[in-house]
Amino acid sequence: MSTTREQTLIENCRNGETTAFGQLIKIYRKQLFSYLLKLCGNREDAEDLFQETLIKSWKGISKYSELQKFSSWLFTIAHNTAMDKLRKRNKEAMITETEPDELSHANDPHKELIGKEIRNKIQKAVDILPFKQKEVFLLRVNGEMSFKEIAQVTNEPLNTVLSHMHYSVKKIKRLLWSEND
Amino acid sequence: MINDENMICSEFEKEVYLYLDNDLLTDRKEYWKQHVVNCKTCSSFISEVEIILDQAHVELTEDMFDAKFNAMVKKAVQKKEFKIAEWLFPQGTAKEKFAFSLKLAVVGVLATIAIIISLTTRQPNTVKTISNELLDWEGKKVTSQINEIKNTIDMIHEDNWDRQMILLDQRMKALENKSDKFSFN
Repeated sequence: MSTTREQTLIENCRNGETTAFGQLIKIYRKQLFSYLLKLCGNREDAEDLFQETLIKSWKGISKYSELQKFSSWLFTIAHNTAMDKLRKRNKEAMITETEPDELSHANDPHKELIGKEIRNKIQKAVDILPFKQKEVFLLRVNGEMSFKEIAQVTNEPLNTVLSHMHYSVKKIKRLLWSEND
Repeated sequence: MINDENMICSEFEKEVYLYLDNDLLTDRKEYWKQHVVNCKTCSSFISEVEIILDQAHVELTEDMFDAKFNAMVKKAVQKKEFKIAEWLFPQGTAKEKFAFSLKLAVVGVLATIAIIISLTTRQPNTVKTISNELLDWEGKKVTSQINEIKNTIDMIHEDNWDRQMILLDQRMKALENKSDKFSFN
């Protein structure tokens, strides 16, 4: 999807075209939903947060500035919505304990097995990360944001963000590699 | 020498994400580029990081059904109707809002029932609630005032008006005589 196409969709959204909004969000649908799902740990909450993010982004699309990447803007809304919800419910302890949902796989049984194994390991590793590390890791992986952008979104110093990323990757690496040995 | 090399490598581990993002100054980036070429540890480290990020990107990606997504978009773009629960709890979950609406509805129904009962039930007469003693006292007072007025009227009726008129006439004449004495004619 080209940036020009994205800009056109944004402009159409500003003019009140609801179909353009659907098309625009569809570009980031998987990334956004994956981020929320991994962050809060269950599908029901993730869908609620996704819905709220859509409502807020539709309401605020007129205020969106092209100086920022649209994906960063969208993920900032999603992140803030999730944080508000989590703060309110004080679920931080709970979400790390939640079991991941069952996932769909490719048709090849061998690939499926390997894929499932790697997937489970990565999911397990991400699930046990401390919240701040998980937050940074998911914004990077699902949001495809730069670390400077992540620092802005999470309102943390860049060095702290880099440190969170460093430790999260270290933990995931340890879990993946050690179990393979 | 080995220690120095280790320090450089641990320094690279901290900066590897900025290196991958191309967020380092040109000189620094060039420095690390050279280092990675010559250092097996950092070279393999950067590969591992890239593999983990790529793998995680693929493996952590989830999706939802199109129908669900379309319904969500539709809900997001529709004009919102004013809802008191939404207004009072903008951050509340759907369950919380539903619970609040339910409570509000129950209170509303109870209040309506209370109003209907109060309107249909016979109310006690306020006059009856005044004690008999007070009524007796007020009655006596009124009766005595009526009697007083009646006596005064009787007195007026019984008085001799003709006699009064003669007396008045005599006084008037006396006054006229007095005035004649002081006249200039």
